[in-house]
Amino acid sequence: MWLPIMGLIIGLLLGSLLTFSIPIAYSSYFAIAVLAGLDSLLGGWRAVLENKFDGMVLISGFFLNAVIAAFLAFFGDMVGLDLYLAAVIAFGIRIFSNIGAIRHAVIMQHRQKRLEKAKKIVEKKDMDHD
Amino acid sequence: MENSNPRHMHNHIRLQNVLFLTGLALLLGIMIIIAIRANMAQVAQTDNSNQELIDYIEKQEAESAELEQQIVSIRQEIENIHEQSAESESMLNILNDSLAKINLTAGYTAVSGPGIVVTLDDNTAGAELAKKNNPATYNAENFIVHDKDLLYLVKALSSAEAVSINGIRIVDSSSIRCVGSVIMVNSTRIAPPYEMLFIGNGDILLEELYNSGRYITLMYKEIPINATKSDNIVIPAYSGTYSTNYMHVYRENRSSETD
Repeated sequence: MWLPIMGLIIGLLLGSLLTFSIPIAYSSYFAIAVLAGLDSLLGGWRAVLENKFDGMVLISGFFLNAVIAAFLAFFGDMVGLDLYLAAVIAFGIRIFSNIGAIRHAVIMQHRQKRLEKAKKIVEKKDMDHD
Repeated sequence: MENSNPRHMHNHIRLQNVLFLTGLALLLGIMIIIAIRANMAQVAQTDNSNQELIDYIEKQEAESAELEQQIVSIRQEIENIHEQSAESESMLNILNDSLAKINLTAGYTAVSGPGIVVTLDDNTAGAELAKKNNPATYNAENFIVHDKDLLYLVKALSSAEAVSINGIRIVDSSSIRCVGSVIMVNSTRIAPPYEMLFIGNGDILLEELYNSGRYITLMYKEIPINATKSDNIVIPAYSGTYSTNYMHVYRENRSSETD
C-alpha cells in the first residue's frame, strides 16, 4: 500500500545522487512531462485501489501523456500561445480528482477493516455464549 | 468494474501491481529531481547574466573614475611645472596668465562666485497618491525628473558662467542624457535629488529660470523645484577632456607651402 510512496522517496534520493541533467532550454518542457507522469502515477494508484489496474494502460499513459504534454508546450512556444497552461490545468485537475479518489478508497478500506474486526469480536462472544 | 465496490476492494490488491506502481514512482522521483535541477540551473543562469552586466558596468565606472583622477593629477603636474618656470621668466608669466584664463573659461579650474542654486526632486508623494487614486491612468513618467528637464534648464539659464549638476561640471562638450532610468551627465550616473549650481548674476539667472517654458512645465507637473540666490557658490573643475581628434589649427600659408 505504501510501497509506491517509498519508491518515490527512493527515486528522489537516487535522482540527487545522479549527476545527469538535461539542457536548460528544455527544462520547462521536462517539468510539464513530470506533471503528466505524476498524474499517471496517481491514476495508477487509484486504479489499484479500485481494482481496475492495467499495467499496459498505465505505462502507455505515463510515457505518452508526458511526451504529448511536452510537445504541446513546445508547440505553444513555437506559435506564441501559452499552450502549456492547457496541460498544467488538465493535469492539475486530474491530480486533484485522483488524490480525492485515493483518499476515499483508503478511508473506506480502513472502515472495512474495523468493521471486520468488530464482527470477529462479536462472533467470538457468540461462540462463548454457546 | 464489478469489484469497484470499495467495501470489498482491499482483498483484491495484488502485490504485482503495487510493485509495478513502485517502479514507476521511482522513475518519477528521478525525473522530479532532474526537473528541479534543470530549473535551478536556468534560474542561476539568468541571475548570472545580470550579475555579469552589473560587474562590467561597475568595472567600467571604476576605470573611468581612475582615469579622471589621472587627468586631474597630470593637470596638477603641468600647473606645477608652469608655476615653477614662470617665476623666473616674465614671458612665461604672460603665457601662464593667458593659459589660466583659458583654463578658467574651459572649465579646467574650480570656480566660485555668486549665483543661484536650483534643486529638483522626483514627485514621489504625487506618484503615490496617483497610484492609489487612479491606478488605471497612473504613469510613472509624469512624476520623475527627466534628462530633458535638466538639459533645458541649463540651456534656459544661458547667462550662467559656470554650471554644475550634482557636483559635475557642465562644459561645452558636456552631455546630459538618460540611459534606462538614470540620468547621465558627462558619462557619470546621477540620481535624484538634483542640485544645479549656476554662477552668474543671481537676479538675471532667476528671471531666466522663471521665464523658461520648462520651469513652468515642471511647476505644472508639481515636481518639487526650488531656486535660491547665493553669494558664494563653488563649482568643481571639469574632470574630463576635450577631444581634438579631427580638428587642427588652421594656417593660411600652409596650403601654399604644400602646393
